[in-house]
Amino acid sequence: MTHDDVRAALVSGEPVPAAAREHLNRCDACLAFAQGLDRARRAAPMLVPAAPPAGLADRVLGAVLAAPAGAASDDVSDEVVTPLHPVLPGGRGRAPRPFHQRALIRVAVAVAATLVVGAAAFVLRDAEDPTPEVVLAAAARRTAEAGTAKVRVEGTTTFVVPVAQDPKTPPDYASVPESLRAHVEEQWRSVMAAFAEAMRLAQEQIDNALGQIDDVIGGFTGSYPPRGQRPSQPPRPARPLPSQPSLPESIRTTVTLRASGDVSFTDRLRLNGTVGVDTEADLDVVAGRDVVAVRTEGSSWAVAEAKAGPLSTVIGGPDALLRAVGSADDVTAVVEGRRYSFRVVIPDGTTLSGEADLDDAGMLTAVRLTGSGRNGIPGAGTSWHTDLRVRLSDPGAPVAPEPVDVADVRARLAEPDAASRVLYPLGAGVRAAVAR
Amino acid sequence: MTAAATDDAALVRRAAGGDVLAFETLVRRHTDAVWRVARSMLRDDFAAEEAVQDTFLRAYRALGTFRGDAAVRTWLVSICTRVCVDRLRLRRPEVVPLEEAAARRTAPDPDDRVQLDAAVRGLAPDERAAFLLVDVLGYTSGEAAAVAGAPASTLRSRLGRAREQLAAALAPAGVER
Repeated sequence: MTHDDVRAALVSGEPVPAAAREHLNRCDACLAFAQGLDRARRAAPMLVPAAPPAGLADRVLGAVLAAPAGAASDDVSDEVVTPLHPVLPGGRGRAPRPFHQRALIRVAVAVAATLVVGAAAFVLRDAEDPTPEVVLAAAARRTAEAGTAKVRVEGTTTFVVPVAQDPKTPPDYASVPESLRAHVEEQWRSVMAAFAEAMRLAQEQIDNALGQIDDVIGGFTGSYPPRGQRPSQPPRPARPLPSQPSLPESIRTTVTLRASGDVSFTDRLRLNGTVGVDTEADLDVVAGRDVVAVRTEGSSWAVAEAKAGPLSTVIGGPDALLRAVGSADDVTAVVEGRRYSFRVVIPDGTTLSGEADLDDAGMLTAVRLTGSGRNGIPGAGTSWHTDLRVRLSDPGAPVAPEPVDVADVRARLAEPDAASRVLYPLGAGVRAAVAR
Repeated sequence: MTAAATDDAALVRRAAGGDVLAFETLVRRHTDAVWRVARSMLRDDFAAEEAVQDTFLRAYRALGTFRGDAAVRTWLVSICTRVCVDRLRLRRPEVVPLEEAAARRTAPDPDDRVQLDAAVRGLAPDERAAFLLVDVLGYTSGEAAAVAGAPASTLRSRLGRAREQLAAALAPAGVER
């Protein structure tokens, strides 16, 4: 038998034939292979992972029941998972959406990301190297070591939906976050109304101009006027002819967030404020390391995995933070006022630009984060741009507890048509999010 | 088919009809199995939890398409394996520094588990799945093939390649050809 034959026999899991055993007796290399295989087999059971973390099933249920709708499919491997909206089992239909929920969560995620990026930027740095990176990292470490802080956030996320230059072609609504589609549709109707009015005015002006030309020509009797009476220039209308009205290149919808609260840098962010597109609705956000719970006006808590947003990888977990911080090496300092500019490249390719202000104690007092990206739908033209300003104060401030009405959430789940209306996870999921 | 499997299939039908509690039962019943596969494959708690959630989300959307040809657990683990393999393919290859690998190899009392863990990370995603399902989690070759959605011969080939690489990695003095 050759070496390959022997090794194939060994890895097959079948009884080793006598010829192979004989080969092993005289071949050190294959014997070493066999010993390595034996060690691997003996060590394999030690790779069995421990039991899942507490509350995993609750969080799974919360994420699934708050997930976006999608068509039923035999192929369960090709979906973009953004569990922010409810879905009916089997992908049948769509449940009612909360007001701006998806956009809200994007903003909330971005806010949490802002804070966590700042708080986590202390790792893997050489403290003896006084580069801007190191100064910024040290500031983040000091801020994080304070544990908590008061926080104020102001930010906007703008969704830009391209418009085809054809009035009969509406925008690609499918590429717009569900919660914003009504706004985009309304904007499209306004755009079309304005376009129709512009077309009407243009036609009116053209008619007037043609009327003036007719008047000039009609002033001559008989056939074409004799040479000396011809106008030196062709008759012109009193006003130039209007140009063809055109559609705007895009429709923009901006979600604005203003909120304040407190943050515990290692586990959660709590905000209370307002959010909205045209009118601002009350908002409560509780963001953990990998989960965001959002409550808007008139609704109960909804929990979504933070991974759903474009910045999700930043707050997906400690390792994700390390990756994000590891790429945040493009740091420049503005000498006046201790302002540092930096960039973070998210693994999905999104680049965030930031500015951080430090106080006299070398702690972060303000962070501004801007970034742009696509809306997660391949081929779709819709893009987003986020601009967030976060102010930190009172380091070491206590973090207020966040009550959640678990009984209410469970009662809603128990109702017969819960799947069509449940935007809420099991209470324990919310509680787990809050407790993190 | 066992009583539990029959029960699972009934739960899937009820869940497909909108019974949230039936789906909750499925999640609670199979989260552990799905977790173990995800955690074994991804070697990271957070990534594994994301994969578990993706798995159940995809399953939830596809409840109406479950035909009952395989056990529900096999179906869920199959989805999970695909989720994990996709994620692994998107990751950068995991590289163990030469110095570290050499230190592990020459250490007088090497920790086989650590060494095996590092070697498993170097496997291609499909091979990693085959090894973990069969040699670590105790699935039969047939179950693993069903989970992988591949013929049994393909599964055996992947498993053989994985074992070869792991044996070479854990061989006491290296393996010559």
